[in-house]
Amino acid sequence: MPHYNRAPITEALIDIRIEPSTDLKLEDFQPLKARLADYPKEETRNLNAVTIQFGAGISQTTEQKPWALVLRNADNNQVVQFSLTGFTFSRLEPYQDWEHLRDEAKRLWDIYSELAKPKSIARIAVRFINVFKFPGKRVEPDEYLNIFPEVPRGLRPELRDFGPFSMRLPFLQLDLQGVLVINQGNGIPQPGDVIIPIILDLDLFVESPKVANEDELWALFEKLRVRKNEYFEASITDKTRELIR
Amino acid sequence: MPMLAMPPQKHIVEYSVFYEANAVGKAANELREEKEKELNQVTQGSVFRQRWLLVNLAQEQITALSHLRTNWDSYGAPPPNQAAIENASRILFYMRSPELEKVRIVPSGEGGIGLCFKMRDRYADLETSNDGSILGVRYAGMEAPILIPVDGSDDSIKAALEQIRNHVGE
Repeated sequence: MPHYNRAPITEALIDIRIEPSTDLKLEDFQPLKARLADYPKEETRNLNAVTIQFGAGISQTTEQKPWALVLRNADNNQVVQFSLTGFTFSRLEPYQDWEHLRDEAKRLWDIYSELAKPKSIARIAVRFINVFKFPGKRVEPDEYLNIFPEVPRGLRPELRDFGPFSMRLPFLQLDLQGVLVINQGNGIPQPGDVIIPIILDLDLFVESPKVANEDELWALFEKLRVRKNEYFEASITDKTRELIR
Repeated sequence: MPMLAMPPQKHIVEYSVFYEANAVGKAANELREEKEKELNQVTQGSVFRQRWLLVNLAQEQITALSHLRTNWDSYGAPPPNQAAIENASRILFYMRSPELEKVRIVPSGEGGIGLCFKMRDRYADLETSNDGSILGVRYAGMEAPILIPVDGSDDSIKAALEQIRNHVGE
């Protein structure tokens, strides 16, 4: 894949879901902080658990439960999430390259798995979320993209305008025994911008990957990356390549 | 077949179907569960997508306030107008995920929208008024409130949020 100086990658992540071998608790992750001095910012992320009770009357209670230890680096462009069921490493803008992403994910995974002692790996994923900024208030999608919702050609021109939209397309990857999901839709425009932000989110995952050891695990990630690139290149036109080159 | 840029408050609709499905019964529950699963898949692991979802939810609340009628509080309060909604949406754009999780979005009795943050005895809010201005305030416990200056520029909104972050905590 060619190198793009203005790559539209908003987030690139490597995700590993596990079946933990021990009775892990979220508090058990606290000692990890001491080993991750380069991730000094801690976020408490909560899950809203809503309980609705039916009886003489109906009552609803909302309880916030912590679900992950989330650490960020000082520049706010690298985030690691440790949860009871897995680990995610994200690189935010500006994206560097695959080698940096992979190496840092591997380092953090080693730290995580030493503590979590996974019984097995339940799922792995490589996900790249791109946000294209197409200039104007109105664009012809086929000028920029090879994948977009197709509107019936029989409609009169004045009835063919569309948006905002959201689309989710899973593609079975038989050779990898996985699924690549393209999530596409409108992004959030920056106030005052005269652009149409479009998200092209490529999420390639393999459930219960057949890997015997760490080398095979990371070799599989390489394959996922190559496949993801293939879909990215096929999804954009030369006009988009010019925008991000 | 052009894709269109839409007015800001209508940009964000990706998940609204899930939250607008108020029907009850087995079929409705199955639909909700299916949507919930889809939502989990979209947000799974992604910092960007988690924030995107939180912005969506907050934006839905802001948009809902625009449907209030005059005298919604029975004391003659006007509903938030377009200026207040647009400024509240601008503030959302600069908020981080932990703030988006915490924020309470309420209509203002003066006409406008309040974005409120509270952690133990620490409180802060940003209020977008119908006259287009933004006013911020913070206090702790019984202390006298301190004004947070916001001149309406993007930089002043970012600075105000930073001040709130430092005051209330992330």
